Amino acid sequence: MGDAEIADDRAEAEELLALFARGTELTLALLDETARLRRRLVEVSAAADAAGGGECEADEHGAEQSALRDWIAKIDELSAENRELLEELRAAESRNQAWAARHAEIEERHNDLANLYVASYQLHASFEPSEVIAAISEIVINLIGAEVFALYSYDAPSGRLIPVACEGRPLDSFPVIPVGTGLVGSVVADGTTYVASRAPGGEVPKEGEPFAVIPLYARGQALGAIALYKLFDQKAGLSELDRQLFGLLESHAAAALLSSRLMPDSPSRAGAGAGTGSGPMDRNSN
Amino acid sequence: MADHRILIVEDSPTMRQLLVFALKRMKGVQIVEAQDGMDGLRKVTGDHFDLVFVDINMPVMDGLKLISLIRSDETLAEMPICVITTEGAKDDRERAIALGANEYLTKPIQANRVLSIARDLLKLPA
Repeated sequence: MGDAEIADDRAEAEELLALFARGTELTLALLDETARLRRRLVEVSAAADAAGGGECEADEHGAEQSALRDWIAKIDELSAENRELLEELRAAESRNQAWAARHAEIEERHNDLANLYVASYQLHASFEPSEVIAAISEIVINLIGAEVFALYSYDAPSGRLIPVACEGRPLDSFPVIPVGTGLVGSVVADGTTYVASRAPGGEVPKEGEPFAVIPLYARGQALGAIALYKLFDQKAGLSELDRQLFGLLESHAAAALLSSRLMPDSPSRAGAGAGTGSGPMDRNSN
Repeated sequence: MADHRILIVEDSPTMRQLLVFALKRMKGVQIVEAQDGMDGLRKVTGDHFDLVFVDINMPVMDGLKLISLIRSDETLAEMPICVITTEGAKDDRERAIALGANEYLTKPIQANRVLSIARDLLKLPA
């Protein structure tokens, strides 16, 4: 659905709601009038009974009562019709709210898909290791909204995770981590993304430890990890999209890094960190 | 022929692509991309644009310098500018607004926020 169509639909919905609101006012006025006429009928009947009177007066009174009954019947019929209309109005309002909620849901889904598409596209846009690392960093900063994070590359000969890119702190402030030790090393050894729950009673990350660690695996082999230490202040927590991006990074970032290492003519392979002397580690091998 | 021409000056390809994705949902819009402040300056002075999105932190020439140069050009003085910042970069944002930026967008960006700002600055109905 295009924006113009959505705007048209909104305008139509607002017009419809305004019309229904006017209908509600009229209905309420009509119901008041019905009540007033009922009271008047009771008063007239009581007055006629009290007056008694002659035959001629009785005929006249009978005709008046008959006319009034006809009017009351007509008003009752209209009142019933108006009640039905009110019910339809409520149903239409409910449908309108449901459509508005659905529209918001589709907007959010569209936004999520655009983010996932862009992340995937950028990860595989280059075979240059430094550009792949830059793409990973951009996704973590701009799409997930991490203020402090580190990207670790797995160095097979030493069995350690070496920080190769970061944001929010100097690179040398992130330690080299032996696989299997500490939170980051354990997550890489285990091969399962870790996310600390911030729900009440849930697990809270310890001081200085990341709140999320994404192991980077390709073809069952570890290539590194992304450790997230802090989100931007405007982000209250992780969204469903963030978790989907974690999943995308876990597989696609690793595949992109592996592809960049395998490209023989890549000019910056030697200096890219992620591609220097590093070899993969089998999943769960530690 | 496009109804509105929008320039995106941003060094991050990821951010550029996301902005293009969001803005292309508007009808009659032509989008031009620039990858740093200098590239942005060349494009904005060489062609007509109805709106410019400018990142603050860029190589070669940053967004603040670009905004001040745009505003010092009489022919571009009224052109709407939206800066792209992080929430933490409050000082940069305030400086950008003081230099003449009309709006700001914080990362991570949301498509509906981008569209809302673009429509507002282009004076289009919501």
